[in-house]
Amino acid sequence: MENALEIRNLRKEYPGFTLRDVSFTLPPGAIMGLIGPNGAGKTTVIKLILNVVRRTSGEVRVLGLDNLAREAEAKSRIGFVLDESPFTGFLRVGTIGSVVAPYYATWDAGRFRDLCREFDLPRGQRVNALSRGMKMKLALAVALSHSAGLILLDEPTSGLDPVFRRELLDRLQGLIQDGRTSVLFSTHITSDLERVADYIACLRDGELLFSSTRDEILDNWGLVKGGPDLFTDGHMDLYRSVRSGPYGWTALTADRDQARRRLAGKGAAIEPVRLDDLVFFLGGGPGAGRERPHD
Amino acid sequence: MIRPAVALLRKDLRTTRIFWAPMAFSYGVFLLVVMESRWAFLGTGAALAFVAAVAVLAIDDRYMSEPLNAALPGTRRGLVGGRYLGLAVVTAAALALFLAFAALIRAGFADRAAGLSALLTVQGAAAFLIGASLAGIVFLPFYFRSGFWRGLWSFLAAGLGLAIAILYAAPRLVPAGACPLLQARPAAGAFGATIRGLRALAWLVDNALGRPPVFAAAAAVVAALIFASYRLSVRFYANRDL
Repeated sequence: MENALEIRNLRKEYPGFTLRDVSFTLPPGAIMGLIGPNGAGKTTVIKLILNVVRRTSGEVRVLGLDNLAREAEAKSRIGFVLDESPFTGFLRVGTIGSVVAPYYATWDAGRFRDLCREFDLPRGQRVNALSRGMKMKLALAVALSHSAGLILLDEPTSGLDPVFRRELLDRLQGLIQDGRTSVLFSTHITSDLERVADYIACLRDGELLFSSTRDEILDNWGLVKGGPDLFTDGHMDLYRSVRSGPYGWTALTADRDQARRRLAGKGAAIEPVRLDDLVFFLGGGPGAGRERPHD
Repeated sequence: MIRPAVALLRKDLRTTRIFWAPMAFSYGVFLLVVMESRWAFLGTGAALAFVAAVAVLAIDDRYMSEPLNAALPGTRRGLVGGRYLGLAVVTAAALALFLAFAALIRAGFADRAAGLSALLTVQGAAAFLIGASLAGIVFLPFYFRSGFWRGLWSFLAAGLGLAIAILYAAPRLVPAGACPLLQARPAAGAFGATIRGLRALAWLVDNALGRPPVFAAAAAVVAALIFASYRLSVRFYANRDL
């Protein structure tokens, strides 16, 4: 079966920002979370998949279809939620469905109606009058109403209340149960990913830092905490990022077992990592770096 | 390409349909105001048709819907095609309204709007179509290159240049001695040149546009301009980031 998404050496050059040769694959029936700090390039990747922005080089295949050579066909199999609501404000919720429907041969008006009902979206309400969370629900209802094989969501959970966020995540998990639908979503809320993502890809400054399964990351990566003697040149190859704080140093390692072996008996505390630790450590910012901290 | 172009047209028509009745009413009111001069009537009608055609682009710009249009199934070429299709549909609808209003006003105000009879002819309809579509086909490449507002400013600058060129060229297309108004002593400077250009244009519409060879030549020029405008728009839009 074709991969839901294959990205190879994807590059986009803007003045002041370059997305550098990003490559990753999303298998069918899986959820991938795209994480990274603001300005890392998450939205750019999603817009490049949709051809909303034009790539400088590289290749994107959606369900085996090149997204430029077979653009219309590829896009007809994508459901998407953009970071900003793009719907005309004075139109009513019900009208949005009929405005979008002609684009999709597989549009299911009944499903759109059902989703609006499930999401408590009043069909007579104008888009302008909806809250940010409700607009997100509307975009989701559109994305889920044409049997897409790949769902792209750009920060879908921001602005949603915790109850609906949980419902949305459950729904995403339900979607992939058919083994054919896949989901790629970018988010800052890493706890969402811990709940549902099968794969995690992390971007920083336009560069893909890693793309791996969630379990591999949570099982292998770890935090090393301790005094400055743990951060000598002999151990720095263990660490992906080191941060100093008022109570000592903390480092991120991609190999918790190796760190445990090499730092045994040296007073190191080695803890499992959480995804927000990854963003914090790999995202750059104050105190981050790989060089040995000075005391 | 056809399916997304038609889908965009349907989307645009659905988006703007709440404005149709007020726009048609306003159209009639504006035309009523200028009914005593058929040239003002023609110019106002064509200008408002252009405004109606680009209104949906302004709405898309206001709600930042361009990324949505580009993300929906279809190609950039299809989107450009949809916009040209929209321009054609709105211009045709505006022509029908224009002729209907001209006939109504002519019938209701026979003493003050007698000049409108000249617009209820093939020449009148052709002049309307040339004016309204020329504005659209000059505007769209700028729109696809730079977006709505930047495109509009560029269009206004280019439109001014084009208008000056047409007004200067028009008197040269009128045979010597054929138009008595052009023989009158002209006012000096740009104002005089503008008046001469407008008089020459009026003469051309009245006397030349009705002749089949001239009509065919005008149609061919407009068709060539539409083709060139479309090709330019496709080229500009193909590489634009939204």
